[in-house]
Amino acid sequence: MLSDKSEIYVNGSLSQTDGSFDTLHIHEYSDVPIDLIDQDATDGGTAGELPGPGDDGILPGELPEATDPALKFHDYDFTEVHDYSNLEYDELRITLGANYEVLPSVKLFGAVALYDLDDNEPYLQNATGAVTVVSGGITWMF
Amino acid sequence: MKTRDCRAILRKALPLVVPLLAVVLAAGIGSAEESSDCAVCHDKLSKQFETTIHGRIAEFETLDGRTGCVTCHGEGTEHMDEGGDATKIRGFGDETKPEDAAEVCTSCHRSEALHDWYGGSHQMSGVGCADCHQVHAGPGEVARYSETCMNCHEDIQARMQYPSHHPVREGHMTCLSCHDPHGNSFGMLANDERPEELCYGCHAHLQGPFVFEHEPVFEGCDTCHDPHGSVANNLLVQNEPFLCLQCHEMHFHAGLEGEETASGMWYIPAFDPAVGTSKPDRDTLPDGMVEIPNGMSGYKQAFVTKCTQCHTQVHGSDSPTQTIPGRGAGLMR
Amino acid sequence: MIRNPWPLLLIVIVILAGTPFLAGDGEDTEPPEHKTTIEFTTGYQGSSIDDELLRVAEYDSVDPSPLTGLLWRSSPYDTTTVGLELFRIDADDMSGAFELDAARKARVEATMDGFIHRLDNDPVANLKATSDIKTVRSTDLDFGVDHHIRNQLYNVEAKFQHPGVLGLSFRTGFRATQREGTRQVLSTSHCTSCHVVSQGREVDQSTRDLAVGAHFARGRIDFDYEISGRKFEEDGLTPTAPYEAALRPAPAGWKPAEDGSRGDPCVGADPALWEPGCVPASTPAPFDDRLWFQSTDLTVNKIPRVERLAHKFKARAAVGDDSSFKLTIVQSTTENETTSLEYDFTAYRASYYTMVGRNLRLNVYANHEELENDDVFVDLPAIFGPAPAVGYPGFPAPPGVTFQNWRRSDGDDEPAGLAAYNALVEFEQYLRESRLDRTEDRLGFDFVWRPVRRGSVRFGFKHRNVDRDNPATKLGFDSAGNLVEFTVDGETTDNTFKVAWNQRFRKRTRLNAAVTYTTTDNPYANVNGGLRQFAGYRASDGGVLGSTPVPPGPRGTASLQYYELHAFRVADLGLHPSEDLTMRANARWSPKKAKWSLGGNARFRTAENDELDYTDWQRDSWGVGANVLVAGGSKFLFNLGVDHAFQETDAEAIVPLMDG
Repeated sequence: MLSDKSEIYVNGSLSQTDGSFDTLHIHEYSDVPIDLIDQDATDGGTAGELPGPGDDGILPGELPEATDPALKFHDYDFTEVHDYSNLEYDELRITLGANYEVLPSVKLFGAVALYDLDDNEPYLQNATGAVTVVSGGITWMF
Repeated sequence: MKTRDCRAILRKALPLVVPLLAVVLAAGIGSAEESSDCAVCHDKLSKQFETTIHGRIAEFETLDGRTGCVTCHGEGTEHMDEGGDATKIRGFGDETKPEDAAEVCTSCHRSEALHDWYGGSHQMSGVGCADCHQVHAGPGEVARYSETCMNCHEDIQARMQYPSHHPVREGHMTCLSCHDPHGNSFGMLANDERPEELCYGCHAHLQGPFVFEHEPVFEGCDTCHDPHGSVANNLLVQNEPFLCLQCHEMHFHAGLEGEETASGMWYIPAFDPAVGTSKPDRDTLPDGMVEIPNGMSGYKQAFVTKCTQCHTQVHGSDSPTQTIPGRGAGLMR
Repeated sequence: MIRNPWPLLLIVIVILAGTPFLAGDGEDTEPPEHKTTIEFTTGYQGSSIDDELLRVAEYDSVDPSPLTGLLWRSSPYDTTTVGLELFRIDADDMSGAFELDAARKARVEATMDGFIHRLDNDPVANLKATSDIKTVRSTDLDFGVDHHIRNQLYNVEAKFQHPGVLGLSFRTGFRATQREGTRQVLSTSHCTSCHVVSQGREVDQSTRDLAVGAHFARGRIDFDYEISGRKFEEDGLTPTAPYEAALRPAPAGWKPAEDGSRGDPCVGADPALWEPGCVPASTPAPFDDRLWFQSTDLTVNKIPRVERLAHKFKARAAVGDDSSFKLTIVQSTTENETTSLEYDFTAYRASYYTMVGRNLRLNVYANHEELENDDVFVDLPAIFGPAPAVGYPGFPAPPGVTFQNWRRSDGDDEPAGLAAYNALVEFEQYLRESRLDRTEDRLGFDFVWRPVRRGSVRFGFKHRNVDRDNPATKLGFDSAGNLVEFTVDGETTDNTFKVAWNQRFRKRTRLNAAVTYTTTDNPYANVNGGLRQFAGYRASDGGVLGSTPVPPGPRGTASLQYYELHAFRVADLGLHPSEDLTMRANARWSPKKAKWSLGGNARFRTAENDELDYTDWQRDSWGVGANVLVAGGSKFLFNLGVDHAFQETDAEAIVPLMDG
């Protein structure tokens, strides 16, 4: 209800945000460019050729079998790491307030604010939370 | 002439003499009389005007000593004589080009605040003074700074609703905390130096200069941060670790396979030189164990989640880090 | 009742007419009316809290507390106003303002704002892993603590102008920022294995800025000068963190301890007589701990004191009726008082603005900036901690012994090229040349053409050149296959083109659109970002890996992770684009005689870098938004908006295949 003595206001925002990462995958050997000699060298190098399999029959870039004692504790499957850092938030912020002039020198005010955030993809800690704030008071004017 | 006749003449002439005398006496300022002329028709506007800075301005503040309505709107005699014909006086409505209006304002406003107005982005884009300022309004000539800016920069207003943001929507900062809408020698930031100096005004603990540097900091804070708002924390344009992985290789320990122990507990196994690196010996657990819940993916969770859990001093540091090969510049201390 | 009021009325009118004249000179006179407004507010705020406040109320005070407010505004004289405004929610959230206008000769405006900023407390739960003899563990010493900082900002600006000197004014400004509270500090101890410790630290920072300036404007000339100084201090106690003894497999001739650490040296010259459990003499040392310091507590997150002094001079001259020339000179010095490092910044900026006819505007500008930072001699051995074991070679290094020559102690089987490699790579004391040192130049123009009423087209061009004085170096091979170290090109050049259109249709419609395109040559990149594809990997005989030296590492897969492979990280990786295209448009429309308007905006951006030598990346983003504004007189205002934004980045991450 609006009149010369009263005022109502509402403001708020609703936001849905997310930041997600696609699965990491390691390139196939043939997709990766290989330079044996740096082309940026000051006197101008030239690129080398792609090496073939070595004496052990293993192509460069391929990993030996897990029996290799230096490599048996390695795991290059990164298909899950993108999940660690995904973010998704839903946030609602709304404030409803009113002022009313009881007398020319006396005003009443009140407001209710609701802030609600849902952390749907907790990163390091779950940030889900909500708060409701109710305030009110009186103003004297002289 | 007899006295009685003089009185009669004076009685008749007084209504004309009084205003004439008042005009003569107040001629030095001009404003009182000319503004009061305007107030005859524009009464409400004039009363409102008196409460504004323009209404209170003193003569010595203007280079030609003129104040009041005529300073901006020009001489109003013809306007009054023609019964208030709006075309006979300078107006600032839609028919006036923004730069023509700005010329009037800048004829007085030659303070440091408007030094760089001409050639600035707003002026060149056709934004006029009246687009943001309300000259006849009350004491707050620019009604709520941030809301004024948002009338045109709506996408920035949207960014300020993102989870990570400067406290503009909470009212503790405004657009003017960082921007100068009148322009400056470097652009539209409230700073004549480098943009980073503006950030250091509040974030001085990151200024340095530091012994151990992080080079991209010198390319600009916006290399990694978006000051208007972002989804990732700390106003980062992208969440860790992938922001860092655009410039850095992944940590080599990320390729290690974690241990899925029977009890989920942590221990350091003995080294067996005959075998080389050995599997852990579960029969000789030392005292004091720490739960390791992350199993096979433990190393990936540790090294591919958040780089700044270890590399905390990404803006630079005076303290060296532990590892020799890093030459102290690991930014971890 | 006065029988003849006219003479008296005449006198009163004269007095009234003359009063503004007297007040206009700035002399305070007794006003006919004394205006004072006082408002006192009291109230209460209650709240209900559920779960975390960290993100949902990051900057909001939500504790139950009384509200108090005071507003006092007075005009004791017609040309003097004083105002004071205070509002307090609680100790974390308060604001205030003060205003004094003394006959326009002295004007003071002061504001104060205090607010809370809630901070993260990372539980470091992801930092727990074990594999073989390596572990990652974390200790959280401030678990569950709600870290927050209370910010208080004070700003006072005063301006003085003497009526006797037209066009000359003085100003002074003081700004203070106080930040108090606690925040989390993480420290990492290596090779223990990795042990991350979380603790809280006290924050008690103050930043104080003082500026004094003068402005003179007369006729066609404007001058402005300002000197400003800043002092920043962190008075909160700097925390210390433990750097534990490194644990590693015992080297040859040592008997490892039960926990797998080095243990004790084996007794006797004949390895055959060593007690059981001793590492055989023939076993090569798996790796060294490569740590400068361990077994000690050292400070972490040490924040230096900073002082800054800046000078700024501006001049503007009107040339003819429609043109002006501007010059700005800025010089500043910033010093880290803790280390005595300082950098200097100098900028010269000039611009010329002119109107050509009625419909053309031209602005031409040029900037020149110089940045120079101090270099630092990093004296690493000076921070060695106590040795973990007596007699252990390499830490602390005996005089003349470096890690390289210690590793080459059995140099008979030293691979070819290793000596040359070691000659190039130094890990001891070194001179840190600052990457901040640079010269940056800009040259550009903006051209606005108004072909129709209420419409304009703007063309802009900017050329920027950044010349870095100390660019990075990296290793490479020359055409003969020799390993060489060379300095990369530290110069970046970009050109920006902009076209914008702005059109207004009466009072009802406003449109504007802009396209900006930037092309960059040699954008900034980390030239030692990643290890390139490891060509020539060979499984070795006898369980010794990579005995054949093959680039990029001098000893193939046997190359030491940090010492040797680190230097062979020569793949460029970067975040700065080589091409950047941005398009944006927004519009607002209002029906005739209606009190509502509809607005919309759309923007699109694509940025990419395909100049990197090993990989490339691309980032695309777009967004649309709409809003409706209804203004129903002075009592009703409604604004509703919606915005959707999307961003996608396609980049490659380099995953190293070597362990250490």
